[in-house]
Parts: sequence; C-alpha cells; structure tokens
Amino acid sequence: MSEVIVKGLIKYFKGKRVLDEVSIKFPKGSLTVILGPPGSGKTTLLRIIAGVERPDAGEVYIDGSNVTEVPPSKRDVSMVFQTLAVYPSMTVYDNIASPLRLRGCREEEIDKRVREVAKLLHISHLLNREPINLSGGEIQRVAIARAIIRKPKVYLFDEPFVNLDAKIRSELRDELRELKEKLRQTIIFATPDPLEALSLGDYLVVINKGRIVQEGTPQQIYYRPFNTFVAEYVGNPSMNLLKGEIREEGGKLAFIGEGIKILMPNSLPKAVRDRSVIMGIRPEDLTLFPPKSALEGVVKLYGKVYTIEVLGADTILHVKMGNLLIRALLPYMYRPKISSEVNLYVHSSKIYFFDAKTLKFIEG
Amino acid sequence: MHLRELIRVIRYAMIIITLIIYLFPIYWIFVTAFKRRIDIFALPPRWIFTPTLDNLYEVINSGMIYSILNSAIITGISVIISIILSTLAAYGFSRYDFKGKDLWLFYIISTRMMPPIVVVIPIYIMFSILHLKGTYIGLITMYTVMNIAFGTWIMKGFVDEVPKDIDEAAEIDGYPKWKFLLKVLLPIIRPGLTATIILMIIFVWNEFLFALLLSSTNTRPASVALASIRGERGFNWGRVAMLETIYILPVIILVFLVQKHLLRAMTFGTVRE
Repeated sequence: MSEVIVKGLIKYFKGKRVLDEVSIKFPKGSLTVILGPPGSGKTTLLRIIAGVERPDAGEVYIDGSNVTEVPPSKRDVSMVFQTLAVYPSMTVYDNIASPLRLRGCREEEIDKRVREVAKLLHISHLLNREPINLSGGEIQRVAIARAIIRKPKVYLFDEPFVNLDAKIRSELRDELRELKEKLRQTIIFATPDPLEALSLGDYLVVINKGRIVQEGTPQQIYYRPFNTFVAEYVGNPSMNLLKGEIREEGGKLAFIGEGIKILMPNSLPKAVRDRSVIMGIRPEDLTLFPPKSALEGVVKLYGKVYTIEVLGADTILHVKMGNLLIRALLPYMYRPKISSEVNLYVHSSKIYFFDAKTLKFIEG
Repeated sequence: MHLRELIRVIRYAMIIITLIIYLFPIYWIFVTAFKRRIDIFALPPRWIFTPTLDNLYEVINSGMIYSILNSAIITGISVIISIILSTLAAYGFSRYDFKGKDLWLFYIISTRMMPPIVVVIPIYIMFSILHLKGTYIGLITMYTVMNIAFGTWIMKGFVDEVPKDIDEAAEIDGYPKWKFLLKVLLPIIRPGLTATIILMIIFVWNEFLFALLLSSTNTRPASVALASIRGERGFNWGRVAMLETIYILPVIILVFLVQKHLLRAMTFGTVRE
C-alpha cells in the first residue's frame, strides 16, 4: 500500500492557471475520487501524478520520496485513460502483456499473469482479438487489465467510463468496486459524475477551477457540503437553492424570497436567523405528504406544477413557487395536471443553509 | 422510362465517355509499344496487328532502359530518406509545443508554394558550385527536400489522429521513445504512411524540370530520357511507347494496390472512407 501526497501543485496552460496550489494527501490503500466538472483540472492533476505532465510548481511524493522529476515509467504507477487508449496494432493478449514484457518478465510468468487478470475482468475469451473488433466497454476492460497486471504502487483512472453507455458504465463500476476490495491498493479515480463518485469513493476530493473546494468521506461531502457549489454539484437532480431572508414576521419565523414566503419552525438554529441566506433543499427530501412521524419541524412549500419528468420508477416534479422553480424527486410514478396546485413538505433538519454572500455552509 | 432511370443512364454514359477520354491515350501508348513501325504509321489505324517485342529489345540494347534504373535509384533513396525524416518531423510537430511552431509549419509548406521554375536558376548555380550537378546525390537531395515539406504535412495529419493518450499510456507502461514509435505508433499510422510513400514515389518518378536540369547522361532518369529519344529518321514512336509503358507501369500498379488510402493522404488525412 502506497501513500501519494501532492503539495502546492500549480500548472498553467496557455497562461491560464488550471491547477492552483493543490495539496492533497491521498489515503493509503483506498479509493479516492477526484470529482469536478469538465475543465476543473482533474485530468491535469492525474497526469502530473502519473508523470506525463510536469507541474510549474509543487511536488509529488509517492511513499515519502519526491518523484516530481522522475519519469513515468520509473514511478510505478499505472493509468487508465478516458479515450480508449489501448494499442490498436496489438492483440488483446499483447496489450495486456506489454507492461510486463517491457520489464523483462519471463514468458511463462507473463502468460500466467495475463490469463489471471483476463479472468478477473471477464475478457479471457477476447485474448486473441484485435482491439478494433471490441466494444468500448471491452476495450476499457483491456485497459484496466493492462493497468493492474504489473501490480503498481498507485492506480490512476482518468474518467474511464464517461465514453461508455449507461448500462456498461454501471456494470464496470460494480466490477471496479469488487476489484478495489481485491487489490487493496491506492487508487485515484477522476470523474465528473457525482453519483459515480459517491458510489465508488472511500474518500472524495471536490475540485473546481483548479482549486480544491472540499475533501472528505462521501457522507461528509453529501451531508455537509462546504458551499453551494458542492451542494448543487453533488446530487442528481441537483439541490434546489432559494435565495432569501429568514426573519420574524407577525410573530412567526419565515423565509422570504422573491415572491414567496415559507413559514419556518421555531426550532430553527439561531445561526441562520435574521440574515440573508441561500436555502438548499435536496429534491429527494421533498415529499407530497407531511411525514407522519414528526409533524414538529415540518416545512410546507406550495406552488403550481410546471412540468413533469417521468423517469420510470421516479418522477421529477418541477414546481413554480413565486418566481422560482424547484424540483422534487418522488420515488414513484406520478402525473398531476400541469398548473395544478401542489404542496411539498420537507423536514427542517434536512434543509441546508448557506451564507448569501460567501455561499458557505452555515453550521447550525 | 422513369426519370430516375434516365438520369442513371445519362450518368453512366458520361462516366464511360470520361473514362474513354482518359484511358484511350494510355491504351494507345500500350499497343504502340508492341507494334512494328509499319503498323504504327498505318492509316487508317490498325486495331488488329501482330504484336512484336522488337521495341523492347531496342530499348534494352540502346541502353535506354538504364534511365528506368536511374529513376528507380533516385526515387528509392530519396523517398526512404524523406519518409523517415518527415514522419519524425510530423511526430514532433504533432506532439510537442515549441516556440514558433505554426510559423515553422508554414515555412515548411511555403517552400512548395512557388512554381519550381522560379528557383531553377539559383538552384542550378548552387548545385554547380557544390559539384552536385549531374550526380545521383544532387537529384536525391533535391527531391528529398521537396518531399519532406509535403510529407511532414500529410504525416502530421495522420499522427494528429492518434490520441495522445496512447503516447502517454505507452510512456507509463515503460516504452522507450524509439520502441514506442516503431512498435506502437508506426503500425497505427501505416495506411497513411503507405499512401504518403506512394505519393512521394509518384512525385519523384514524374518530376521533369529538375531532372532535366540537374542530371547528366549517366544519371538521367526516365522522365528526361523519354523526352530526348530521337531516332535517325524522326521520332521512333515504337521505342518511346515501349519506354513509356515500362515507365508508367510501376506507378499504375502501386496506385491500384493502395488506392483506398490515397484519398485520405491527398486530403491531409481529413477525409475518412
């Protein structure tokens, strides 16, 4: 198990800072997901760890030694790329075998290991095929096999599943989760997909515009988003963010936004009262009926149905409240009339509050 | 008859007419090569005649066949040098960022922008001073330089199409650069490479102006030799046609072998079949 640390990484591309003093300590033997929108610097970060890109400033440490100046082949890392980067001129077998051949392994040893990893990734039947005859999912399996065959210190996955279709993506995600348990190695996985990040990662690093926004366990990221960016980004559909003010009106505590007024329970923490806030509610926390168990602290929102997105088992209800549109994710199929009035309920403990100016999470 | 069918018939008729216009001269040269002098000048033209190999013996015995050999030597060596250099240059331009990259690329292609006739005199003087005039090395150098410009641009298009991730995957896997170029990159770009080689061969094989200017009697390539065939009594058309047939055959065969890759090479790798 190896430890990867990056310190103060800075990288410019054509005068633009794509990495801005990035420092991360990647936990040993676990899967860390670097989560960020396209262009946030994830790939650059991975490429710098792999050694195919040089940072303009900062250092990379693997197992305590500074490898910033060490060429990629000597770092003992392997990488799976977003584009299906297998060698098109070689058979699947030769592709998987190539890292071992380059290190001068004996052919019997190579043959044994190739068959081993091929079995692990369910591609034993493809060994004699040429990559051009494989599907995207199969190619990515070959790439993963090639990456794990030489048992490197660190595995890097650069958005490996984004070019695949949804079904294969979830299949490979499940397999990677299994593989992770078998390998028990340090894995760094970059993705723009928050669901993938939550489902795979032991540890998450959220990055935006070349800066680390937040790092922590999936629970920490999901339930304690550092700011509105993380809150909105991590979750699908993304969190509803309502801008307004919490103040007392006519003896009752209320959230007052653009053309809307929502009564709030008196149990609301002091820290969020009498100030401008951004109120965040996850679509999946909204229900059509008030929860039976805890009537205390339930907040009622009301509006008119704007559009309905039926996703099979789920329904996304878009509700117009004043000038705002909010989304509710209902775990069943539901087709109300457009423009009909609708009430939505959420428990106040599930409401997130952010400072209206700094956009940061307000601890209650 | 339906209109659509009519259009089809007209289209095919036009294709056939065009083909006749293009192919008839080649056919005529080919049959002339195997005609006796009396058949060549027969009026009305003789479509059926007894073929003869006299012209072939004459071409061989008179030493004219050496011009084909000269062409082969000059073409072979210059194409080998220029394809190696231009593939390496293309890889550099495709993969590395350096100051003035676009300017360099433009400079390279600009060497092919003016008509060759413009530089004929300076080149003649230059080659005379360097004692390269009339030598194989002189012609090979000239054609290598001309082909590198064109080869670099075409090969860059093909290398650009190979995702950079493959380079990096190979780097991480531990491929030394030369091994990566030979074992990974070259097989991927082979179709483009083949087409580029063919285009280079055709260019050198056909070139006339510099060949005329820079060759001597001993190094004269076929393109020049063809123009200078004269018989004792006017042109000996039989010999001309025979040498011409030998001259165009290799190119025709090559083009037939790789025609599906040629289109992409001629459009700098931008059009896919």
